Amino acid sequence: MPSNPFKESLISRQRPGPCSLVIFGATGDLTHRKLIPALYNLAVDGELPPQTKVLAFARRDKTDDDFRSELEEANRKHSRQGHDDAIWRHFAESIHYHRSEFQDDQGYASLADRLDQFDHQRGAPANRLFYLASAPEFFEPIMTHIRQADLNRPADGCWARVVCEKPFGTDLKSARSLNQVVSEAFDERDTYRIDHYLGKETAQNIMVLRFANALFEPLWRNRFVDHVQITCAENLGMEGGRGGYYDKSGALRDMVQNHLFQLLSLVAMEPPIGLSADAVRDEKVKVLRSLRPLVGPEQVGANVVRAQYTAGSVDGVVRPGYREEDRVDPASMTESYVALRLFIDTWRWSGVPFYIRVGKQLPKKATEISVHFKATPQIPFNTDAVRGGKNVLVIRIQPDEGIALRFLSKMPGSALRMEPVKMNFHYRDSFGKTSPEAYERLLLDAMAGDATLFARRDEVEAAWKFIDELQHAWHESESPPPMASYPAGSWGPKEADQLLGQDDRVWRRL
Amino acid sequence: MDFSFLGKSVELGRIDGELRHLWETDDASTKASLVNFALYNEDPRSLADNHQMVARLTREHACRALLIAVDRDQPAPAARAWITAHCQLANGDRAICSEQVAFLIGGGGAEMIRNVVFAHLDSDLPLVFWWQGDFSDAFEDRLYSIIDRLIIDSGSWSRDPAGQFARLQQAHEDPSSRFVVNDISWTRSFHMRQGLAHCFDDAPSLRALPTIDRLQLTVAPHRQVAGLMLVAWIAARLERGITTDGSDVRLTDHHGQTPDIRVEVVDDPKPGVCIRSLELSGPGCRFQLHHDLGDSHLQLLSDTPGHQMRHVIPADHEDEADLVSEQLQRAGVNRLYFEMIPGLRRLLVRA
Repeated sequence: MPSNPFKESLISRQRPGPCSLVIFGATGDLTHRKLIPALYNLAVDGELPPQTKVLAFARRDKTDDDFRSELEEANRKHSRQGHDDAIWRHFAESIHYHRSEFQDDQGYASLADRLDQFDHQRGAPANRLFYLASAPEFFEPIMTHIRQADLNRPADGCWARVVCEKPFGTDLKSARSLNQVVSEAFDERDTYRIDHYLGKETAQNIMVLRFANALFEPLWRNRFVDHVQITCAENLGMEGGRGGYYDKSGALRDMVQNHLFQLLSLVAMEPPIGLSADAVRDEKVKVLRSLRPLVGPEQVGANVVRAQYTAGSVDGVVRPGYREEDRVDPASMTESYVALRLFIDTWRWSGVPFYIRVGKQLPKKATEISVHFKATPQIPFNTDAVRGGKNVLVIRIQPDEGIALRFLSKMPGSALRMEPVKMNFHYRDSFGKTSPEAYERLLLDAMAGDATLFARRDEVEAAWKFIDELQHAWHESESPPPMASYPAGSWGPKEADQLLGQDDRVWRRL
Repeated sequence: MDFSFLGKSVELGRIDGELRHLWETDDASTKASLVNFALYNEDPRSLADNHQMVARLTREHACRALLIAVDRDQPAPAARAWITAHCQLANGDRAICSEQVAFLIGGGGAEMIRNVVFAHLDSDLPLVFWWQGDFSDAFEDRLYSIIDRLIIDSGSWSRDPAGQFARLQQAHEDPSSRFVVNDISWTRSFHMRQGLAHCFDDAPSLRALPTIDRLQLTVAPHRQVAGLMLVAWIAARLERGITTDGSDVRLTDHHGQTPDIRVEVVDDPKPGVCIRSLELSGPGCRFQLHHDLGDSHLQLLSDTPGHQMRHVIPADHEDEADLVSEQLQRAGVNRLYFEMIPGLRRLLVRA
């Protein structure tokens, strides 16, 4: 088919063509809170390709109209740009509901018929995007049935892709098995493993900060960097029944394996040779492969702290302890907090510790990366003697996205006194418009065939390989490292402070 | 004329000091600036409108605003200046403020104007320069060589638009210039162009494209330039030549493989919308984009044998402040604009 001459050069990024988006598990929270508002906002901005169809595949009995009404209510609550009845009416016409069990052959045969009908209405076959928003245990039957119904085979000139929601496996074995199942239906280039952290504006800005500015990259190495901290703090616990899922997962698997390792990769990667998806992901996976393994309870105990919160208060509200939370096993050994000291064995990062901490029921919600630079030599200024004397570059991922740089300045007066001062860039002050939600960017990228912000198979497996050793030491060794505790509303257990204290360092105060 | 609405009157040589003083006395506000934003007009009365314009634009675009008005009737060189700030509440708690310096310059010629701009830029930040109205002798190389982004509205040019475009093209091609052009008239049709691209996203529509033999545009009478730009753009995209014979305008295929496209630009009987409709049609096919007054959306229709598609996308802004805001939001080098200009100049000469 010749290309559309009017499309060329109109915009700076690739525009996706018409597409049918099938969401499996579409009655869940993700569809209502994130996916539909994201698609609606793309429609508001004129970014959603015309003739896009959304087909919700789920087990509950609903009509198209029932489902659209539910989504309308959700969109009013969650849409970033508000709710416009006229746009919604037009957008909602493209949403359809398809009732079927995930293991029902007939359900997939009729799904194929409906997709063909959409193509017929368009007058030509369209692209197909399958979104796995169901519970992970259904990924395998869904993939198998998609393949058996030939839905993974696109028409000439079209594509068929799959987007997999997290968690992508619970360990290396299950991730490999899942990858195998997916790869039997879709090529790796058509597989999009979503990690919504990568869709955040500030996460994308890490590469721009590092590689588009001449200032930082020369310093971004062990000669100048003392250590790096990555913090992901949440001030919530197990509200809304989250305990059921979380107690089977824990902080390490729920956050570190995916989100925090993705941030770590972006901070520590070498410059990619280009901005293609594979060029970027080649460099990211090298970071994960270079992580010094922590094997056995002794190494894990020396470098990793796990903890659960006990009763306390956050923002003046009394909170129960983790084991008293709804749907949490009273004898649970699942961590609600984890702190790690990691080393990346490359020339660039040799000897530089990366400290990662993530936890629930901490004093505030914040995700930040801080790069702590080494002190200057003592001559002529003894900067070490000054409280907070070292330079720190902070990349705030959420909320209050921005970048801050701490440096020393002479205090006014006749004496030579120095104090740390901060240069602060806030996205919200400098750029008046709100950033698109991560799912808007990621859905559009999946439709446009840009996998840069999605995890590749080898990244996922490399991350699980590292995490599995920690899980093994905690849950299967004969002398597992202890489970520490911290009161809800504190900054974590004292053992985590000691982890840095041993190295004569402290956690950055957020 | 009373200019007290522009804030505190200051001597030109004391502007920096007065601005510092402005912030020293205000602990509650944050000063923010991403660009130097100069608004230039050769009519002193423009200061009132531009003051309001900056108040609106700084809601989304933190900047140092320089309002420059030239009074050509004043015989002796003289300049007056005022400073103020436009503050917006961010997240309901903190005021984010943009500085504004306004100048009224009389009788000084190009050099005085240029030096006023040079002296009051916020260092290291890019310069966005909005030249309002026809180009004059003040638009000379030492001025435009420091501009990073030049905003114009070619639809507002009152004298010889084809000549004005030639002047623009000449400045743009001057080795000393580095500016990117944002023409408000061109931005007026952004979504219309995007919508037209949407119409040909599917195979049946794309197959029908070579059979198109008619293009009809309905344009507000005072927005003819925006309409003609759209015609020139379509010609450039389809690699067609533009032939004119009196009122007859055609887009012709150099290779003679597809029919000529007859162009009809109609004045909108109910003006209010810049481009009310665009229709491309041929035997058995019709592609229509329609924008109704008061509707914030553009209605798209693709009608080919056995296949009809309707779609809505956001419509182009009509308001000047919204259009400029959109330009400031959307970066880019706008190469396509200069691809379209040769065709547009042909159409303007005919008009």
